[in-house]
Amino acid sequence: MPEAATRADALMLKTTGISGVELQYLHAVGTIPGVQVACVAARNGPGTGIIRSTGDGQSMQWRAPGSQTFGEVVWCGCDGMYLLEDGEDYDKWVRVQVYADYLFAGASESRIYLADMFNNVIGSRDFTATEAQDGSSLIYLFERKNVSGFDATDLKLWIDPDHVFDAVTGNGVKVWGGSDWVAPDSEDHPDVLMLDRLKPGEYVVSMARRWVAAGETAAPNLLECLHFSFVSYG
Amino acid sequence: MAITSYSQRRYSNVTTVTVVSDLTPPSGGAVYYHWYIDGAYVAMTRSSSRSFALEAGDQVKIVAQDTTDPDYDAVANAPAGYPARRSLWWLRSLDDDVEHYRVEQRREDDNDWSVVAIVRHDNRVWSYSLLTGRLDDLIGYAWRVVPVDLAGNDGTPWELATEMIVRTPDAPDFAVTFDDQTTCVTFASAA
Repeated sequence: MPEAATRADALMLKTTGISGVELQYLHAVGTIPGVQVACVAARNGPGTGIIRSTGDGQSMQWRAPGSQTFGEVVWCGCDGMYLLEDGEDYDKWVRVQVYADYLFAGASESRIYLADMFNNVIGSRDFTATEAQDGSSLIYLFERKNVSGFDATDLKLWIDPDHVFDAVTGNGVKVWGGSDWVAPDSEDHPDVLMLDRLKPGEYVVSMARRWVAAGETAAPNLLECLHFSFVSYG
Repeated sequence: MAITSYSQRRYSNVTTVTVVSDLTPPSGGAVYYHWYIDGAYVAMTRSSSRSFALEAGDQVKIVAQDTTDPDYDAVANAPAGYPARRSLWWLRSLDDDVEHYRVEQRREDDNDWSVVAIVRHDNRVWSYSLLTGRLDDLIGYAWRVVPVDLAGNDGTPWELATEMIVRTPDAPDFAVTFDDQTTCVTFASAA
């Protein structure tokens, strides 16, 4: 659990199980010496952000792609996890692991390139032609855990409308809503997966399924993506 | 800004590309050239020429962008491409006795890891990057970086899960024919 969890850091996505691995939303390439980008909020979106250290090199700031304002200065002089927020939107955060011995002793700055990640539960590809010919299915399990000290409310889960491939397979991605598989494609869709509240430390397991019947057509270069939202008042 | 012409010369597996820019260096400044292979950023130079190593049978699309802005964001302004390669990027090992990193690649349809590069460790460098060779479309690839110490022992690898290479938009689909009579090569849309 990140030491610096705040309102913006309430929900962690993990693979299921005790040793679940945190799921990453975006690839992050680039950093300054002594700093490892551990996780990037999906809200940052793809693009180019900037991380910088000021003064003696132990104070950090983050500026998200498209933002004009660096966030508040966070002192990062000891080894550990820190949360850096954008100056215009606190929900655009990056969580960084700092190795203090390797920090540059002075101001430094680096661009961080963020790109969508399509190789995990959150984002994936459609079936290949061979898989579609034989018929195939995949089920992903993942865990949404509240790692903050505050309640997370109005949790929603839906499928990116640009990446739904119902029209291609006739079936497509579906998510497990408790008793039925549903395919919501927007935050306002009547079938959107809703969960009223997750208390601190609680988690909920969800499933996403993709399947294609034998003989149907699939497009392996079609990508899919899941979206999540929640409210936290920390 | 504009590149007004490209020329290339090939020596064995090395192709040198030279461009001509219509930019004039500002006082005290320079013209910077940003180079891309198939849309993937490769490097910035102040020379208008750069050499690229190509494997036998390899074809790539090389784009150069010229600018006088030293802070030009070469990734954000990257041209649309058909990225048949991946840039691998990793942070240094914190162990003191790392000698080099062994970069390995595995195809989904072949379970063997193959070494694609050896990168020397440098204590002054925090991060490393490597551009892979050309990858086949719609094939899954995995990569791992293995730190190796002075005694030759492997450390804990940093591994990327298998990723299917999907070129967006679709890679060009064409057929090539060679006519013995005219000794001409013809490119045409694939049937």
